[in-house]
Amino acid sequence: MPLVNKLYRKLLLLYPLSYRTAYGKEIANTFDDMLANEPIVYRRLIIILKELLMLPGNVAEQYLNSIQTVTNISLQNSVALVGFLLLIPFFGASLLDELSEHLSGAHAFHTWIWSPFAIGIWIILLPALSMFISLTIYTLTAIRKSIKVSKVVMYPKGSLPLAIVTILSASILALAIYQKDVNCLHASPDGTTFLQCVVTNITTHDTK
Amino acid sequence: MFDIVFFDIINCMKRSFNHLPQVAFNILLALALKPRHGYEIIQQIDDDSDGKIKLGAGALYSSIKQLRESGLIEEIDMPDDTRRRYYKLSREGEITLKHELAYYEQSLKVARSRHVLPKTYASR
Repeated sequence: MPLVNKLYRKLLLLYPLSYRTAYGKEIANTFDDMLANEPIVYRRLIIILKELLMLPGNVAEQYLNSIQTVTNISLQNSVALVGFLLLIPFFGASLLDELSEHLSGAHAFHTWIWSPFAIGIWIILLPALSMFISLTIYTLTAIRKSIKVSKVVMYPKGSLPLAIVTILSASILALAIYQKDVNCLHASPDGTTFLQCVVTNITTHDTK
Repeated sequence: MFDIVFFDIINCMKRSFNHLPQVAFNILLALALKPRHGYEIIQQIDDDSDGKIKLGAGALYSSIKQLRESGLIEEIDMPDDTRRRYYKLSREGEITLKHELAYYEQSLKVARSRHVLPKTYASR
């Protein structure tokens, strides 16, 4: 068996067990047939590339379908919910700071929530992850509902929650990258953005 | 005969403006003539769409799973070929396909009457 076919069979292990048991062998056989029946080399490469590019989305869809069958929530809404949950630390930290300022007159910048490491997680990493998964499923949904990728439907039906989560997480990331004059934990110079502040503090290991 | 009428009534009651996804429709169309296995379905869809739709193995079986769960297609045994799994339209699948084709036929009629078809299709 050619190496690429063996590698493809290994990649099929990424699918959920139940789906793999039901369809894994058949998917592998169909892939073998597709390659075996294509005489032109560059077209075989396109087949391989297309399968590799679509694999993450297909795998994610099957995992989320398994959640859907248990919770009866659609795939798009499941992903939107997960994406929104990833943004809760950002809203929680912002709310805590506001409450602290109103109740005690002082910001909560001295707490662990505003340490460089924690900031890096709730203002950069989690929103980035949220945006990535929301945008990926949104794009895959739009592609699935259109014949040609060049004519992707801009708003596939049922994807409003996904679109909202994507925009929200992108806004938070933009805040991190572009918002300046932020009172970062260690009184950064004027004009420092959140991102620069976090990176500077993490890289200099400032523990004050 | 009764089951065809029964499914027809049920489908009319269930039918809204939500039509089948494009891939699902193409799979049903590919199975309209005879049962096929996965690679045959991919080839048939490629032929039916004049090469415009080139389905991958992963995407195909995602749709096959959904169609089986919806009861629109069934798996059958082919004694002559035990290596592959064959699928065929169920009764409900036949009726659903019939309704989808009727919708597209009506849409074509309307498009022709309004002279909005591209020139390559207008004369067909």
